[in-house]
Amino acid sequence: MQMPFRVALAFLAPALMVYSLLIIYPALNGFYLSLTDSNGVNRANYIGLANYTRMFADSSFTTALRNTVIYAVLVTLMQTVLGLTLALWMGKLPWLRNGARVALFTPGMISALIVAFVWSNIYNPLSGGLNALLSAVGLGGLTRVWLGDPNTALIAVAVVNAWMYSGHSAAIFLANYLSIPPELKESAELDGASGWTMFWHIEWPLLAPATTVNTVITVISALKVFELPFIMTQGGPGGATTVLNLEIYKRAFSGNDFGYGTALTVVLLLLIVGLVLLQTRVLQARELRL
Amino acid sequence: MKASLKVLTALSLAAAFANAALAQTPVTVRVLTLTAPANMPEINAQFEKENPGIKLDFQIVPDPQYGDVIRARLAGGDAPDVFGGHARSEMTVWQKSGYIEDLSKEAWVATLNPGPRTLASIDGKVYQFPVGGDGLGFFVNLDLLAKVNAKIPTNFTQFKATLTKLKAAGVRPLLVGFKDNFSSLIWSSMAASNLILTKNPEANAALVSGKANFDSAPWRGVLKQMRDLQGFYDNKTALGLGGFDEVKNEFLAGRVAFIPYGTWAVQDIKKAAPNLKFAVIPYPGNRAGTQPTATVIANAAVMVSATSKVKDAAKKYVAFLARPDIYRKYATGASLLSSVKGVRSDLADEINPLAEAIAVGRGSTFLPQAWGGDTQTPWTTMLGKYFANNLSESEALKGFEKDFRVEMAK
Repeated sequence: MQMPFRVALAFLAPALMVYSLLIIYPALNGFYLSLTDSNGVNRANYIGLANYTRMFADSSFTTALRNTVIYAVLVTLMQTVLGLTLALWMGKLPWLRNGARVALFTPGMISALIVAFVWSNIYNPLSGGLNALLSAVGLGGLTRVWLGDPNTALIAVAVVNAWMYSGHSAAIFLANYLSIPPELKESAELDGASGWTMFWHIEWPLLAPATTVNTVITVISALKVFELPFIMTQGGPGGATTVLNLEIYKRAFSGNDFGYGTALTVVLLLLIVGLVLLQTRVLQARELRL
Repeated sequence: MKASLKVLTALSLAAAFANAALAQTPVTVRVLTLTAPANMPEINAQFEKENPGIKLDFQIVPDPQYGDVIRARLAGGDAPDVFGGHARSEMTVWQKSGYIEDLSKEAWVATLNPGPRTLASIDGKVYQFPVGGDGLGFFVNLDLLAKVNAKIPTNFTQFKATLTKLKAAGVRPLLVGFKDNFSSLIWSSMAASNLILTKNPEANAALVSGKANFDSAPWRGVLKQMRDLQGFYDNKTALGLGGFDEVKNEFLAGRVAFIPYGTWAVQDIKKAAPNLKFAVIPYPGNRAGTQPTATVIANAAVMVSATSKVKDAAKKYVAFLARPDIYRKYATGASLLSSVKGVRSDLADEINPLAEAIAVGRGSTFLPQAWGGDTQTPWTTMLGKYFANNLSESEALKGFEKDFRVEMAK
């Protein structure tokens, strides 16, 4: 028997009220704030779309937008590849699986603030562990000022992000991997498939659902990044690691330019929603094809 | 008639007793601030002892949370009676919003040193009691200097000669950190103190009023002086190091001779490295034949809420803090350079070279504080691009000028 709409609404009402109060109302209020010259203290005059038109002539915004998209691509690629590799390895070594799963989840459970400080020390050009390790194994030529070189800073921060959450990706891939019917792999083996052929033709297509979930979650999280570049590089060197959330923080909280900062937040929201919708459509179509 | 007289007498006595009871009820002054010295409880206890009718409700919320907390309280109509803030930085916004009381008529205003008084004023009216300043200077490892038989340099020529000797002896002469823009921010201020503000104390006022601009020889000289020393520090390494912590740690470990830093770190360094012999000197960026100028960064300041219901008691508390004997305790406890005439706080011996320069009038204010508004963010952004993207001095300063004028127009 289907529940009457009014009854269903009555049951949903408390949750809807809380959601409206905590999410919908602040979002609408924020959107209105983006149409003002608010300084967060005593001024909020309506100025229409001036904040939005200002944005596209603002080189700090275009730099931050570019860095954010590049960062999301880097993190998604690294985290997906690493997560998948770890999942396949755990899938083939059942005796190691449980311990490895816990160990791999650990970086994601540490506060991003602590991770940022630890990795800043690892990347320290004078006394950091990474350069010391490279020198110790005869790869001294690869030592860099990782966070001080505009060519390497963004990727150095992205590596930390991918390291933190590759365990999560691995868990999602592993769950999908373990649900692949063994008969499919057995019949592929009978046909002579093994190693790369088995992976590319059998396992990878069947991992499509996990790929969709992983990449969508990773893209959303990477587009919203803040703590890692804030602690590790403060957006430098020379703006090379300034991402949108950092730019929003600088404008709104350091510069008391709340109206403009909120407009940047709206643009970030639209970017995330737009990219995720596109990504979901493409990946779900791929799932159906496979 | 007799009955009504009795009632009237009884009512009058009751009213008198109630008034007396109310008068004896202590008034509570709510104080919220971002920083206070370790001896603050003792100072507050003395205030309450001397003012039995006033109780203090004293709270500290350190940075960076303090900004969010005080903004919310002010905007929400729940302002503390006395509250702290960074010297000057939010003052202009709060004054325009009517949050802070004009304290110009307070007796202690006349005792302020000119620099702190200017920072605490808007249009000649004083709105803050500045609790003191930290000195910005170069920390020098005296043992490393002795190793190359060098004396503490007092001008730029001597400084370069000392750095050359140190480098030749295999000692890291100078370390700066540009990753967090800390070293570049304080170093540029110190360079400006020596190259511009000593000769032209009105230079900052001229910039703020629009009578001067940044893309000019003196300001290009400030940036150029920092870049010219790149023979003694590696720019790429500096871009990957934090000036606030990583550079300080190298100094603590005794691996570098000179770093730009602030006097607030002296006690921590002495605790962490008790065997390190060091001094804090005014940055020797001055020409030969002149003396170096120190730079002071005004610390926090204390304000009275314009909407306080216990304004008199609140003002009494601020006047108490400004009293010379109490202020000396405060400034000594917080290791601050004094903002009050005739009061010298007991500072560590290491700070003597800096303190002596300030005592004889060779001190100027940290640049973003002198300019006002949030000029620090665009200034550090410009410095970041200058060093990371190898901009010319003119390119960098022209870019900053635009952002500076936007900030001044707010």
